[in-house]
Amino acid sequence: MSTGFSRSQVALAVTAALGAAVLGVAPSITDAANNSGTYMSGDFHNHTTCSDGSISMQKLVKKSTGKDDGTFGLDWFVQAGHGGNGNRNCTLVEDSDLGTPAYPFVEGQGPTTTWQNSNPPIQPEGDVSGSPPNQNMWRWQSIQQYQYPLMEYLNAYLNRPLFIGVESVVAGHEHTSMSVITGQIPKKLSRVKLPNGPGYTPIGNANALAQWQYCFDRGNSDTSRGADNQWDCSVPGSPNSASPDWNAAAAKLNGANGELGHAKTVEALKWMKEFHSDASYYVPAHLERAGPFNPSGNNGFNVEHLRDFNNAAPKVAFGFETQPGHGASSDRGEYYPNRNTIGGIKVDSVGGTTWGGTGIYGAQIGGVWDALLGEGRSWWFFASSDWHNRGSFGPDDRRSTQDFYPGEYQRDFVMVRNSGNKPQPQDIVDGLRSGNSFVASGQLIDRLAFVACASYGSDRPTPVRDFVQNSVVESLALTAAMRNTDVDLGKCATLGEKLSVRPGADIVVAVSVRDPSGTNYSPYSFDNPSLLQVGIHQPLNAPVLDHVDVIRGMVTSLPKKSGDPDYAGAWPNTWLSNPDMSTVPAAAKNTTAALYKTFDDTTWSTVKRNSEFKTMVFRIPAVQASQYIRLRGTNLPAGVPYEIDADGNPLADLYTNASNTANLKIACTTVGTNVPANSDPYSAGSAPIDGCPNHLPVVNGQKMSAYDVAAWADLWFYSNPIFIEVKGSTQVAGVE
Amino acid sequence: MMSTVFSTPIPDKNDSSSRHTTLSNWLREPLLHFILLGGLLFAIHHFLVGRADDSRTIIVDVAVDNQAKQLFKTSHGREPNTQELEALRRVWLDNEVLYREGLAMGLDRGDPTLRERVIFKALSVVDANVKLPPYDDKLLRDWFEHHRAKYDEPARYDFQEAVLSGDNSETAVRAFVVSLNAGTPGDAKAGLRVFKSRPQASIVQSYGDEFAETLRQASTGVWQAMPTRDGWRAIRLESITPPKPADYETLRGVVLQDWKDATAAELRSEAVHALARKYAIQIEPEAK
Repeated sequence: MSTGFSRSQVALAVTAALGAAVLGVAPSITDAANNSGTYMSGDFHNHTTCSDGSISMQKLVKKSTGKDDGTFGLDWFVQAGHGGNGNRNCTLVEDSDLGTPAYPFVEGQGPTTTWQNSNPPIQPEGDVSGSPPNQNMWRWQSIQQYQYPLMEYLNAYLNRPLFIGVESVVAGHEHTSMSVITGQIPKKLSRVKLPNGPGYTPIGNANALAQWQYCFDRGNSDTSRGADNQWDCSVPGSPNSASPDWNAAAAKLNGANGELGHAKTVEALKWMKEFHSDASYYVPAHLERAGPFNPSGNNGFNVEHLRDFNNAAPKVAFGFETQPGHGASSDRGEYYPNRNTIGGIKVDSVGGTTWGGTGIYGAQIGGVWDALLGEGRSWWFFASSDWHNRGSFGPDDRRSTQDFYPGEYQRDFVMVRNSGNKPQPQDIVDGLRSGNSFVASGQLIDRLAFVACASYGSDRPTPVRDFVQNSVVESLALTAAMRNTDVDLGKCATLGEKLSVRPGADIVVAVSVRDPSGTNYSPYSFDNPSLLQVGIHQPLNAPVLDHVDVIRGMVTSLPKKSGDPDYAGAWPNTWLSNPDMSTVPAAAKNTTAALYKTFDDTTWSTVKRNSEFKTMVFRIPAVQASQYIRLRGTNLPAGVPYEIDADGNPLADLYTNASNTANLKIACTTVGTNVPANSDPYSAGSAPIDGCPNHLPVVNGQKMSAYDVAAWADLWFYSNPIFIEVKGSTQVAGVE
Repeated sequence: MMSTVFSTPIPDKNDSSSRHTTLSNWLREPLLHFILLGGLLFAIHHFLVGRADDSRTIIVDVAVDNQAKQLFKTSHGREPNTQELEALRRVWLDNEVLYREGLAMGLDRGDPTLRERVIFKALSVVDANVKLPPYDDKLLRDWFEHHRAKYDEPARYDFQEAVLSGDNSETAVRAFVVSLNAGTPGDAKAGLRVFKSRPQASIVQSYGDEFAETLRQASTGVWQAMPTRDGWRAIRLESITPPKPADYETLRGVVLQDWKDATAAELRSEAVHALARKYAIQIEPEAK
């Protein structure tokens, strides 16, 4: 359909003003123009040599936030390696080009040099493990004394929003992306004169994050109370030293594993709520990977654990990283069947594999995410790179059999209200907490405006009025998307917000996206092998948004408390062979969630003078019950074998996971003229690879789609929801 | 040389001049030269190779330099200078120390990433030794005919789906179809999906055999309720493009590359199977 907009922004403003009157909302479109926030893209989970990554902090920052060829231009960046300890000094750089005045290249030393082999040697503190000169440093020390100072310096030197976090090794579970930003990046940093030579003394600190790391990370068995810090991990109102699990010498809970570990993690959330409520976030990472919760070990998270976290600290635990990194791995996201052993029994990653690159908790309509949204919880969808290394290739090679760099493939687009100033860590954490964010892979879309407005009088429908209202809201969405901002009007709500209405109101919903033209960061210009199955020729590095789905679910209860019916229940381990929602316990599903609308290029409007922008509008008539709507979209049409089913739902990534070539199903058939050998470096600036690359697995003489090719072939975006609270119906209590 | 040994006279052990003469004769003896030279070569070899095999010795050689230069050039676009090369050597040395320490601690065991990397490299070595047999047009044409199904154009279908949300029972879909054929727009409910040039096999894969057969027999331009493996759908067939056999001459280049890939893969598999024969393989029951 090409009936799209050709209006100028002035005309849009006129229409909006007219429509605002019709809708009964006072502000005009100019309110949106004055909005001080923009969507900014970032990543908060990635690794350096300080944990088990392969490159220095400076190289990772450059790759993630640089604007040159071979870098990925994120707007904000949180460096967050594993909790626990490590013996390598990631503040050293690989070569002189990466050095900065305060942290220059040191001849003979690089980021794999151990702390004690650094020049001058650096001595780990606390209960030190390992043998000199390779002894391990606790993460609390490396954050407090070395990693934070470097990030503060780079924040100022590069003038980019950077701060430090951790991928915590979670007591009772696997991992969580988190930070406590108190003390980090003080505002006066912008006035500090940076040194011209080696050495930098920070004006801020990461003491709070370092203390949290000592007190609550499972990987931290240090009992020194943080050496000179002499931390006490007590939580106000908790048993603390009265608990039989309290370690008096260490002044913290042991929380070895399982239930005790989970209890310790809930205490960690209470600690953050008590001391750093606005300045903390806690987002379980790749939370399906390690299988279900293990009461005697440290595996995954069930829905009840997410409820426990959100109940303990709703402003801190507000979402999950259900779209994992490791997107180019032989097992996408490192999720695979029989990955884990619990009680001597092999169990799958929850859901068996990822589904279109997303874990089953987020990917399944009516699954865990919808169960939490159905209680009116603020619980948001996030993604991360989980960058470690490039697998079979070097760090500057554009091909990968393991990870993508931050920003290269997945991005969190977060509303940052910084009033035009350089964003502070608090601006970014506030944006994460707000739910006003969306996730996109492979640069499928890079702008999204999603707005719902109330309209009354549907008992006296008039086609003209409805048309005008629809046009107004559609115009508001388009204008917001063009300005990379949101719609901020009374009687309307956007991502992560709640629209309160009276029974019988019509909800006018508009969506505007930008499907950017040109190429993305994929190094491959040959046709997408997944789409070739259905006769569509589309270069892998020039994906096109195929459709947008609107998913609706009902809010049927207040946030459940521990002990309430259907509070707890593990996702079935049989999901890969029998993906039947009737096997999912009531606690982990929302049976009201379903596809509500779907739009594609036959039903959305394309802006005439800027065809990158698409808009769509619809009404939910005469609402009587509280509900929410959310979006997903992809480059794949419904019914692409081994990728997406006939209803548009992602299929298991089993069929493109190279770890078991017997499962591979999608042939990669394009023969190119520029297909470098695996052993030949292929770096930035090189011409695109125009045929199926040589690192793809071969089955019966046929190259098969897998690794990075499979990831670039299968792109998705997911938005957070808009809640609609209907007076007299269920209160959407968890959302402001 | 062996004959020389047997022609040497046996000296008298009490005769000094005889001993002197004998010694002179020995010093001129080619066998002695052979033994000494051989011993010297052995000593040099032992010194060099023995060092290389010594897990406590690390040699930073020209191969290290070449690798460092290549990596540096990849990321910087130029060769490293002397100082940079020295620094890269030092980094390599640190890494080698850590690598050997890690191996000594057994940290390589049970790491799927390391395992995959080593497999990848071993496979590259196998690949390098694969030599394709000669080919000619007849061989390629025969191979093409044998794999014709891969190249023939399948029947393709253009169709639309008027999407219903929720109830996809036969009754609901049939009622919707009546309304659609009476003029209700296709996107009146949850939306409209438009499919173009869908190959028959992909339709079978996504919707099932029964749907594919119903679609094949459908009239064009009419909404119809059709059964799929996931329930009923409202579908309108737009057109069918009949199948078309592939032409070898047009596809010869593609066929050649496919034959190369397939043949190389067969040879690679044979090579790996040959390597497997030196292992005793025990397959244990699956863990429960």
